[in-house]
Amino acid sequence: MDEAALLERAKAYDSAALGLLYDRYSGRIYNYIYHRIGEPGLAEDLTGQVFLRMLEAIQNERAWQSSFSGWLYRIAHNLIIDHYRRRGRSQQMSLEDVPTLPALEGDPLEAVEERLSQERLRAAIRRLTPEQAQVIVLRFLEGLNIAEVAKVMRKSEGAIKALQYRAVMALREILEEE
Amino acid sequence: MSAQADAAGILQECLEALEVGESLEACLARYPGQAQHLAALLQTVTQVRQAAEVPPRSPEAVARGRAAFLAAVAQRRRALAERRRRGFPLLSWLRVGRAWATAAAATLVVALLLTAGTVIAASGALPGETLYPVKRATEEVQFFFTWDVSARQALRERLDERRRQEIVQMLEAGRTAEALVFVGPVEKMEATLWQVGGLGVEVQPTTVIEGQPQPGDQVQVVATAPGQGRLIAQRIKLLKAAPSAPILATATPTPSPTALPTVVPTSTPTLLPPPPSPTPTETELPTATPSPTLTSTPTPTVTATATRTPTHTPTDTPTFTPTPFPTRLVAVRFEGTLREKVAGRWMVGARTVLLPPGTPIDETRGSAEVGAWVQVFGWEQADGAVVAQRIVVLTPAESPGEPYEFTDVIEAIGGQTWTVGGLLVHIRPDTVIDGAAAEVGRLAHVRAVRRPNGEIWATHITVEEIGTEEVDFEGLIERMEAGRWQVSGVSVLLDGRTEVVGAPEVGKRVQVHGLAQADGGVLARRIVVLEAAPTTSPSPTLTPPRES
Repeated sequence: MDEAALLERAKAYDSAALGLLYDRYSGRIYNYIYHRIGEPGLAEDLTGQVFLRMLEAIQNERAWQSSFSGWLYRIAHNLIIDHYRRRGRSQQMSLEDVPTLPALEGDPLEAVEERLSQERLRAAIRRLTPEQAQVIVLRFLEGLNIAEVAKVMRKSEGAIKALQYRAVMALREILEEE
Repeated sequence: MSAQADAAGILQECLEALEVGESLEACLARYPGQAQHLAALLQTVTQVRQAAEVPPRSPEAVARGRAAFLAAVAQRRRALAERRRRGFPLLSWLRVGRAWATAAAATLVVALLLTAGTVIAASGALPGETLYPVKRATEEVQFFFTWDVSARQALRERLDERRRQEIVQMLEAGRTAEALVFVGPVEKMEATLWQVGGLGVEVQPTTVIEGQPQPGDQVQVVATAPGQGRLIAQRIKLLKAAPSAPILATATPTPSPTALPTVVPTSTPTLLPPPPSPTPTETELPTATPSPTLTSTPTPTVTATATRTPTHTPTDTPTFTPTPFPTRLVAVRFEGTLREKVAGRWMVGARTVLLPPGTPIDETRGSAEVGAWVQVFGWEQADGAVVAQRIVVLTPAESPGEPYEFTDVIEAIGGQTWTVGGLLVHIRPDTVIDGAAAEVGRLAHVRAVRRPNGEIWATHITVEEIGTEEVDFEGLIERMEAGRWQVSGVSVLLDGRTEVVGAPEVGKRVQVHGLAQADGGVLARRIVVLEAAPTTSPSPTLTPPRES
């Protein structure tokens, strides 16, 4: 179904339309949150909150006029920021805090190393500014192109390129420090 | 362009080049001066991308999240319907307030522009005359600047009385007018003639009556004066019930004492003297002196309290004309179980409800199916049947269909429907899904209700993994339920592909061939009834897997 028609129906709280939107976007939003948070359970909770907030505000068309998916990513981003604000950004994550992930295929040692590598990367991303973290996740983990990221972040494509450059440099420095 | 902008552009260019398959070396070769820095950045990006893998989401968590979301949607829909039903009282109030402010501002301008003489001259104006708007504007200014609550109420009563006197004057003069509005107590109710605030008003089949006015109640009348002194009600709206005769919306209407009208409207105006005006408590503008030329019996004085601003705003405009015209129109509203649906005629509770073509039915909260709890708005006819004006489904049928239970293989999983064993199963927000992760190819034990239209609405689905190890055993049927038997203590699942040979009954011996399941049960592929029940119940004998 055409997205514009779907959104029109969703504005009237049409269950079928909202269900389709949920099916269409919940996976992407979950992945985005997971990449930022790294905890499956928490990512599920926050994904649920994103869609509840979407429901609260969907009748305000101005909120999502330019890009519906971009709006969902923005809601997710704000929830992530809130989450870290509540938790306290200075809190260091110990190895005990590393979330338990489902078993990975292959060599157990490699799997553990991969998990630690992922968590190390997420920890490094968390040390970036929120905007830098957002552009890294959207560009390189979610695979959005520059134009799409620009829509999500409501910036020009040139600004996103510059932000991307600064973000990659900062991330490089953080990873080299460790 | 700044150096940083250059570097940012180069990074992006290389990223795009790599995405379309260009080698890292080729890209770096284009920028030899920045190759080292660029390589480090691209390595970081590669490192990030390698961590892009996300562990698969738990299907249960996904299903729970979706169900929670759809439950929230349903809640929103209910709230929206409720708001619509209530008609946004706050917004209505604001609209009224804005109208008042506009009227007051306009009137102030009028007051400044017009001379005092004009205002005095307008005080005797009647509806339709040039100066009548000036008269009404002046009244509104007076009302606007009357702050004391009791004074405002008294003034409103005097203005209501003034409206009635204007109509008396118009009727006496034989004038015609549309949409005359006046407020007054109901003093007499006959079949086709009511008396409101001293005015005789004809009630016709097309007259819309809002609420259930009774003698003594305060009502607002919108009427036309077609000439010859007649006043025909277009709409009569209950504003305030008399304290001594409370009106309940669900009250059973009292039939008119006489089937035939006791007063027949004639071309002669039926004008009755108005009730005495309340004692003025403040100075008011000059009023037109009533000059009734009446000879009929004075009516009893009704001491109803006028309401300044009725807060009830009907959301719908009744338009249905009951036929035949009853001796008395009674608006009713009641709730009940929808027991029967025949075209144009429903049974709701013990009452017959007639549905004229196009009767709006609000099915926001559920389908108008037999068993649903519905609310009916309409007009009661003389024979007790209710002609529906509007019907709202409040709750869907509690038991919308017969219980239906089966076990079969999941063939497709969609957002709101699954296909299980060739059957379309509707997943609702409150459907419980448990067991193994829901995947195509697994077994689903579905507990559902089959609705009258044939739809299967799942209430509970238990997903089970299908084992692959084949087993054969013999045993006695101990219990037979839909999709699941117990054979000598072994739980045997039957799905759409299970072949049953013979006439199975509890107590009979059967030979079962199927797939061993993780929980110890067997998904039967073939069950052969061997013989009648023996007197003893030997334990099942598992045989080695059959070669296939």
